[in-house]
Amino acid sequence: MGNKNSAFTEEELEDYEDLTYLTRREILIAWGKWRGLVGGRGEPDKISRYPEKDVQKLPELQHNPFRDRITRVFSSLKDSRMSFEDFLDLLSVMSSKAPLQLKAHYAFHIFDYNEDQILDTEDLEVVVERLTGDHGLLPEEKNKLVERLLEDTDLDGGGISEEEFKHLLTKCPDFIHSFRFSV
Amino acid sequence: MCEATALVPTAEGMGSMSELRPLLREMKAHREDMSGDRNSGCRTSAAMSGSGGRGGSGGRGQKAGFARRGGWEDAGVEFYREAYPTSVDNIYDTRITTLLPSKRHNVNSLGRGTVRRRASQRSRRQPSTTTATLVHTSRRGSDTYLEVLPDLTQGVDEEETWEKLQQIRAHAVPIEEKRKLKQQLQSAPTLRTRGLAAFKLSRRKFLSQTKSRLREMISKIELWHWSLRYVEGNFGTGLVAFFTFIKWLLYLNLFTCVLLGVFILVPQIFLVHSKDSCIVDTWSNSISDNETFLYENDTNCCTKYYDEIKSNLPERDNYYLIQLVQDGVQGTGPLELSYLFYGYYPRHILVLEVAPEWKYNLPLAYLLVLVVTLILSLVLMVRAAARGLRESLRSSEGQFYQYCNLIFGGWDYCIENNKASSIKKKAIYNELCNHLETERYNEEKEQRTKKERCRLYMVRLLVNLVVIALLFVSFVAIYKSTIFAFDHLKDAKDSKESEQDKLMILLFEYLPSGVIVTLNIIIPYLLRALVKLEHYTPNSILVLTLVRTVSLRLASLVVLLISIYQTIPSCPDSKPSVCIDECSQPWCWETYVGQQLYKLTILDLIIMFLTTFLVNFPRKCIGHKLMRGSQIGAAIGDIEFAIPKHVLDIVYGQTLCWLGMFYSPMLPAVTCIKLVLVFYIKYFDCKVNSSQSSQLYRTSRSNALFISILLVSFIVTIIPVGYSIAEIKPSLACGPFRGLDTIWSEMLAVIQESPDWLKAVLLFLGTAGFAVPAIIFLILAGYYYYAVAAANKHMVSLLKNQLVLEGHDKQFLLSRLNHMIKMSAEEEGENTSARSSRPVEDETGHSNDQTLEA
Repeated sequence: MGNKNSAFTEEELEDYEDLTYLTRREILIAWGKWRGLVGGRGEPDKISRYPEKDVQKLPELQHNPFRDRITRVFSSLKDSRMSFEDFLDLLSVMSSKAPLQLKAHYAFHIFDYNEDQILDTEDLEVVVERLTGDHGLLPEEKNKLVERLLEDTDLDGGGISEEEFKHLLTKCPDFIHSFRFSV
Repeated sequence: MCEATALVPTAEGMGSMSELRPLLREMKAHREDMSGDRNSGCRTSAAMSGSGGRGGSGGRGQKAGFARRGGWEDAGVEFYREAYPTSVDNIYDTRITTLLPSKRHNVNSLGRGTVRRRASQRSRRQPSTTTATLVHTSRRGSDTYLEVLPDLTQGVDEEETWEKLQQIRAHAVPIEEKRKLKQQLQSAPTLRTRGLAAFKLSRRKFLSQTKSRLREMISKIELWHWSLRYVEGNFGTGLVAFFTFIKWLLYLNLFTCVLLGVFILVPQIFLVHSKDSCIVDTWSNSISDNETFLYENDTNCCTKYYDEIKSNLPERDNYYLIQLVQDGVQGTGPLELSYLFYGYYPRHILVLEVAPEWKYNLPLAYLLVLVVTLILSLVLMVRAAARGLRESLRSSEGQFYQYCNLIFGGWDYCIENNKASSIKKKAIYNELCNHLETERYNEEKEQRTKKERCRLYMVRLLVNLVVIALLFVSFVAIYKSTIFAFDHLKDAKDSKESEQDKLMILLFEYLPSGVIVTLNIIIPYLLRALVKLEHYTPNSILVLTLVRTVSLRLASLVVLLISIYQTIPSCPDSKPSVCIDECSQPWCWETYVGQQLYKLTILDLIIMFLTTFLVNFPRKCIGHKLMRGSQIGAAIGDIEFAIPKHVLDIVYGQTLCWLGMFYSPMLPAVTCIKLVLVFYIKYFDCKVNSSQSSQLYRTSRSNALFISILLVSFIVTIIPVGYSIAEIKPSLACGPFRGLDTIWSEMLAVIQESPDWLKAVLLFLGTAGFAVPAIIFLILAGYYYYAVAAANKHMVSLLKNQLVLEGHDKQFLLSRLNHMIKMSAEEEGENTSARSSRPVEDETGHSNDQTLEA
């Protein structure tokens, strides 16, 4: 423990506790994980930023169809490189204590591939494609699906906006269970 | 900077709206051929009042909306036509769309609900600053980013600062910025709270801190944390829900055990009772000095007799291992004379040695604790079920939400294994296909001809008849076997025991349980085969099989109890003074029932063990190691971890526990041990034996499903237990209620002894004078909630319609706006058009207004 503790000052830990949904123990575990991820490039510190390849070695991300989006969205400078603090942000949002609204915000941006702040047909097609993997739906099935998705969600036309998306997710009870990592 | 950008949206939104009106008029002038002009004017103002409603006057907006609904619908078609003119589909369109307040990248509207709630609480608390707070609140509604910054003009008290500090983590900005916010908050001058408020604040701080510390501690010692995490990483959250369900049940049973231990076992160890013998002279003595004996003389002697018979056990020397095992699984021998079963509990009033006047009525405690545990279990279950129901209701709102749920909530982000992720993808794919299939099925259903429909209904009717026949046959089998086993057991016990007889006894002892278990294994396969003939949707197939299997399992238990019950009243109870030994009644039927359920519990565990280690494990080994790659190997080795089946196993075990709890108070403890073992058995089954089920089990749905099955079986359980408490005469020879007419009369006796007013109240509760108004009240309350729910549903659909209309409005206005911009741009020529498009790109805040002015 002592060894790990020395990585943070008391103030830093307190800060992180205040600013994320993680407990002290989880922050230390996260630090351990982070060191495992980027340790190959020398002793890590908290603000240097590492390329997404390193971060995506995290088992949870490794097999996630949206990993590139996750690293991009959580990267504080939007360049897909992540620092330890960004990593903490990621874990905080993914913790089971984070509220639905926060999770929904990030989920929205993860799904928003073309980054136009609206989930439109294009985005949804990519999402469906990535979700089903190699099993690939037939194009007409995919179209039908996306059409059905947009049909009712998108009340005012032009795609699903963030607010609409958040509203939508309150009706998707599985989301809050599935959109998380356990530390 | 935050101040500026945050304040703008509402003001600007309203500004651009009011800006639009003259614009529309202008347009009218421009284009005389436009149809439905007047309507558009009307609708615009309606739209405005609607969007103005966001700030706080929602009610007014809605009313206006309703009043105009009739008009809108007529106009709707035209707007629809106009709303999406392809000609104006130009570059401006998307840009302006992104500028709309609702579409803006609105980072900081998080945690709004809580902030607003708190604010309203505060405004109630401080009536003097109501107006200020109101302004505050309405601003909050539009954008909370501002709220994080302390409003320096107003005095901010400590509590508010603290609340905001707690809210920081809900903001979707990188840590760096959150840190800045925190510093800003901390450095801002705050008013110190004093007095009661300060106390309250410190208490709140303390509470939240302890809560988080406690949570951390609990998470450290959490049971099976790593196993659950493993399951989660490799099989997804659906399976985790199953294992957490086992955990939940374990806690429930532990809780029951603790209650039983504290109120029934511990008093027996620490308290004494005066005397316990059958000798008449001691009896008369004890009656005079202390009424510690509750039973009559003859009953007491019967007890003695019972005990003697029971102590007729083989000596310790010739107590073989085989005998030990036999007794262990049958609940006979020394176990029968332990606290495990009802029969061993004495009918005593216990006293503390140092303070003899303090009495502890053990039979009453026995009754009360069991009733209370049952009620508590019910309450806990109903709570969990209500939560599950709410979730599943929300998702069952329509086919469409199921798609959303699948697409947006389908992926388990905790999956960390390649195989699991490909299986998950396959599962999602299957589920999607399933949904599409259902849709196709529905279409097909509508196109079915009359003849086809008739045929299908006939098939269904036939299948249902077969199912009922199957169930009936199995019930008869259980009934016959129980009676048969009982008779033969009696014969075998009467004749002096030989080695061969012992085996026979074991066989007969296990005959009813064996029949039940065998039926429970075979019949579900038949049911699954039959349901395929009925052509239902995949979802209904799942539910239907589940319902049938559950009813088989529950009903088989009930039948078992009924057949045991048949053996009880065959004894003439006209001669209470004679200790019954000539009638066929078991010495202590309560213990007998307890033993049956104990045996079922043990057998259930054994079967689970066997199927996992001796059936599934070899299957997996042979299929995947020896015959790797071949199709037969795959057919043998691929075992699905079908959650419904496993849930049924667990629920069945719990039902046994509830049924037997009264006759065997230690059964919850046995069930606890069993559940721990079951956890590991199932864990092994899913980790080693099974490939993950290719069906997608959604966490929310399965949670609701588990609990509702549990609830149903609980209710079915309660009926026989309640009947036996209220109606059946307890055995004379054993148990804490010997000599009473019914078990419940113990309770009545206590009520009779209680003070008059309490007696009156309690007796009144049992009369029709109380029951009829109570029932009427409950019905009325139920109806009221039903009406409210119906009204809300109606309201939701109305609002949804309104929202759609607003959406059309917006589209319409946007396209008009684009058109205008384009026209003016054309007029001004190329240079100016370049100039006017730039601000749209650069500034996000004022661009709307500026373009309009341009």
